[in-house]
Amino acid sequence: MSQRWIWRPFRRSRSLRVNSTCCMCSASAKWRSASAAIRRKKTGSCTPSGRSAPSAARYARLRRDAVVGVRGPYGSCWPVAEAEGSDVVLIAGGLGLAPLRPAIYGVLARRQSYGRVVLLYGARGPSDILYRRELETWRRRLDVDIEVTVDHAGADWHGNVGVVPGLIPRIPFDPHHAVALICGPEIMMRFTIAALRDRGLASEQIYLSMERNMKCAVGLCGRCQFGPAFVCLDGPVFRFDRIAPVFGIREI
Amino acid sequence: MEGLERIVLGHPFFAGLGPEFGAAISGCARNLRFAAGEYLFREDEPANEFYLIRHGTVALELHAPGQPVIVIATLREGDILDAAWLVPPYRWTFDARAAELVRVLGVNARCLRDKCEADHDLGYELMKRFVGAMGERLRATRLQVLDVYGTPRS
Amino acid sequence: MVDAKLAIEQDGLQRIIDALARRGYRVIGPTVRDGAIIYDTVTRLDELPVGWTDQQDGGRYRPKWRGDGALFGYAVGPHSWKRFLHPPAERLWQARREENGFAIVESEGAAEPLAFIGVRACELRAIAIQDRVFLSGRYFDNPYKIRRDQAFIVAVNCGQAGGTCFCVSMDAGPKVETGFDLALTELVEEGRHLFVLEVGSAAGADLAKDLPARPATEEEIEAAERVVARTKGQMGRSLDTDGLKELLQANPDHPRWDEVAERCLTCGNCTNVCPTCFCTTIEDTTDLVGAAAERVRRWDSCFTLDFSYIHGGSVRNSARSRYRQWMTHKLAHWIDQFGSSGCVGCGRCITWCPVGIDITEEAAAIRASPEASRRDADGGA
Repeated sequence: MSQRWIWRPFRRSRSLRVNSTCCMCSASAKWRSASAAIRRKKTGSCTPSGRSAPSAARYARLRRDAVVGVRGPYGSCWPVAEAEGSDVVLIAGGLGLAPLRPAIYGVLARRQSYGRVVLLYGARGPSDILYRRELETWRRRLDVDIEVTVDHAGADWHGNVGVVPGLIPRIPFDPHHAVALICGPEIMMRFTIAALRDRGLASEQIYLSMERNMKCAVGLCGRCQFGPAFVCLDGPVFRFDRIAPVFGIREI
Repeated sequence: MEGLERIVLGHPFFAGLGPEFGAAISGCARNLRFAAGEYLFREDEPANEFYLIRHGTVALELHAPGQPVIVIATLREGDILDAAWLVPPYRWTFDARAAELVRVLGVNARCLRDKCEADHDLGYELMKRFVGAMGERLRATRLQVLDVYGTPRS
Repeated sequence: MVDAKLAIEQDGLQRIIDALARRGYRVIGPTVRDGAIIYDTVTRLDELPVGWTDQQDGGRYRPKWRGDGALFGYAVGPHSWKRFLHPPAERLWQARREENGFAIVESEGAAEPLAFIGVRACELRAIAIQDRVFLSGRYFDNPYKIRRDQAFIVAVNCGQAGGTCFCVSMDAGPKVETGFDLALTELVEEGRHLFVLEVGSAAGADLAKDLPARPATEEEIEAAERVVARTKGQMGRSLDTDGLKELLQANPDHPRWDEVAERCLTCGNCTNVCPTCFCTTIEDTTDLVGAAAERVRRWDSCFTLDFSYIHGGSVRNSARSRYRQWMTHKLAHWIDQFGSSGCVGCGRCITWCPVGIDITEEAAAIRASPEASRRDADGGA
């Protein structure tokens, strides 16, 4: 998967209101990546999911100055502002690093407002690690703890091999004054939350990003329901205590 | 001896262990050092010792013909390696390579097994801790095996 | 004037249709087709199901001849007014490729305004429920708003309850209370056939001026009230709604879900006929040369596997989970989302289920033997 990309913050050059359920912005963005994030100023990011292979491949084939229609942002966001004053533990699994990346930038942009900042990232193997250059840049900072682990590796990988929850007992943070932001496959999030609670974190201190089938993104097509919540409106970022009753129910 | 006893009781794995047991364990213990790349043990060798990792990273490896070596897990400071010494046939089931300079406390398996047979309370204290650690390891391994970041299974 | 109670002879109804047509409305009313009473464009009174009623039960629908010439002597059929206000297929927008990007082609908006004849109390409630879904959230559905604002509603008080009706349990009928322009109560008895006409809005009052209507007599008004009271006593089903939301939300693993899953075909009939079900899918299509694209919204059902599909599989793979989703959403989650139950007690889902699954029976079964609350407060993984 190619990681080389150049991005520019996109300009909203034209905005049309169509039947009130979608607002189309036409933006000019120069980038090429299989897992792309378009950053608008420093406050948010729209990340087309790289998991959906056809759309990822289509983005990768766009030429410079291609016009992309983008609508949003929708739903809830990471509690970057609310976490000020606390330790922040950002935990990503696989592609989950992409949705967490804007939160990382948000925290680093006001680094002095937070306590300890820890990033845990688990990938399938060394060649599946996303945003490698950024990870290395962040790692060079002296005020952020980063642990990367992979599920499988060869002997030429000199880092951790094992699952993300396995890293949690060791990381330095104060469970009484910390906020955890988690994004990854649901099983990984479930195990991670268990490990965090073993460290003493309460459900109100844990935020996760949920995913369900979405079409309209505005709470009108009904598909993304997760118990009574609409993932597109009430989520995708949920404070864990608010969805804990339905989180473990099979096929909910 | 005193120094070893302090190391044993201070190791996270033995948190909460009574000092009398600490003395028993340290009586079977020695300090060891492995340079980066050295193997602590190989698969199928007799598990004569178990190790409390004090510093450094140990990579657990499996090899298969025609394939590059696979690292299945890395253990670090605070972890123990492993539980094969507790139950027959007392043989290691993987290779363990020091990924960097590694310092461990090695505890002689036969020495400690004999002491456990004589003092069941010591045996129970060890069992509790080992079972807990292996349970954690198993849970993590299950998640690892699921390959959650890979292509979804239908 | 609003709230006035008038009386109009049976053939005066044709004048209502004509007056609406003159004002540019497309008049939609009940008619018999393919063995059922459905809703479609009507222009003449004889297109209505004159003299027809229906027999309904779980998985069973038969039109039946009454012979007394009643125009509205039936309960509800497979259609509901949602097919006009929230159409099965709707183009959201079209786009045309241009030199530098693309241009959106705005939709023309609704065609002619719609007038509905024969809207029952349960259907009025269903429309009100869909109003909350589409108009009261953070984002609203503009085409729905346009159609809804322009719609003219001639409601009807039911003179006969259906075999699967339970609007009384849902406090949604049989009397129409609010949300209509005109409301009719049909009096077909001892040598008379007339309608007591209630005016519900300024638009209704305006239309009533064109009708050969006179003020209703006390006796006629009382007769109309007796009709409704009689219907109230004829309900074919009942549903205990007391604490129903908490009951269903606390019982996701009740064995009843397994039991109903053995019968449910996940055919989705219930979601099609339900007047409040609103779930859709969105499809994007492009022409072959990539010069034009459009986005279309279509009815969909939570009973399909596609509905909950995410990377590689469906979240709700089993029939059990899909039936549970539909029923729990309708009777429980809907209250958290929109402030009221999603069910109006029309009974369509019971009638049109090929195997006759009865939502009131399922709810009663779960209520009869609830599991102890299985999750502690903090959930935990």
